[in-house]
Amino acid sequence: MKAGNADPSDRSDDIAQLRRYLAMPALSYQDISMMVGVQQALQRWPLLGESCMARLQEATLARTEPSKAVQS
Amino acid sequence: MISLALHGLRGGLGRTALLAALGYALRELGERVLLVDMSPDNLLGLHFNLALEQRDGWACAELQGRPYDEPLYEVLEGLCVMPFGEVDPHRLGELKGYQQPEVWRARQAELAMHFDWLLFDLAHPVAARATQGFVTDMRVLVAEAEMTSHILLGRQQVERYDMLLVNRFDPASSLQSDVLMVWRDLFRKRLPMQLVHRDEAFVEAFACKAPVGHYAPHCLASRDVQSLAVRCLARREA
Repeated sequence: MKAGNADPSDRSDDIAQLRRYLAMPALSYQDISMMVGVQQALQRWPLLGESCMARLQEATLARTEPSKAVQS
Repeated sequence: MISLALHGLRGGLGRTALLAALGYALRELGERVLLVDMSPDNLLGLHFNLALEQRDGWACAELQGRPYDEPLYEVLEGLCVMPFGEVDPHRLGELKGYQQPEVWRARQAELAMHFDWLLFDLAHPVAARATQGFVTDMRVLVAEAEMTSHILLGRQQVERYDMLLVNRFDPASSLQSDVLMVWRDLFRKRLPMQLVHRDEAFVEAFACKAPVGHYAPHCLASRDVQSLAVRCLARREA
């Protein structure tokens, strides 16, 4: 394995391999940095946050109940 | 032949200039293009060097009982424009082609043999009945990464559209970057997105009566519109 390879196209392949290895076909890739960025954006601009209330609550739930969020 | 219309979430999003630029970019890719102005403002022809004094258009022809497709101008080889024309506002109610969008279904079929693309510059934003009833093969939703567009976008069934075109995008604006990131998160699987960057060349091009790709072929906005044209072409070939 090459060290420091950050090519995003390799990432999806890694996920596919991990899925096979763990026998979890439903496991989907989550871009954590994007999720954090979206949460910050929703908090920074009140109207944006209000318009995406469901999305905000969903993410809060995922943070407070990680095991439940993974299952769903 | 593929017909395409740009649907604005609100007015003032620069759709006419975008459509002119897209028509020019498709023509540069070797396509035969007809742009049809559906707006009584009659501005589309000015993007292709038609004279300000030139007042004829399909709406005038229709009201005078002439064939609607008589005022058709080949502005470049393979690129034609059909202006709306200047019409007395009191007579707009008599115009079938304006009041009854379904009239254009038959007209599209008639024009299909002469062109690869029919591009329509619609008069009103998405909320208008005439816009909702206007049927084309491709429907592109136009927005800016700002809050009015965001709220109105939330009221749309995005599945009705083939693409979300984010116009005048300024990456230096933190609000625009945030709105775009949220849209990518909300719509990533449901609506492909295309950016066109804010670029002074767009307004300068109109001042020079040319589409942006002709006025400044290497500017950022022209390159964005070229990408859009390639995506449209890929769709046609699919």
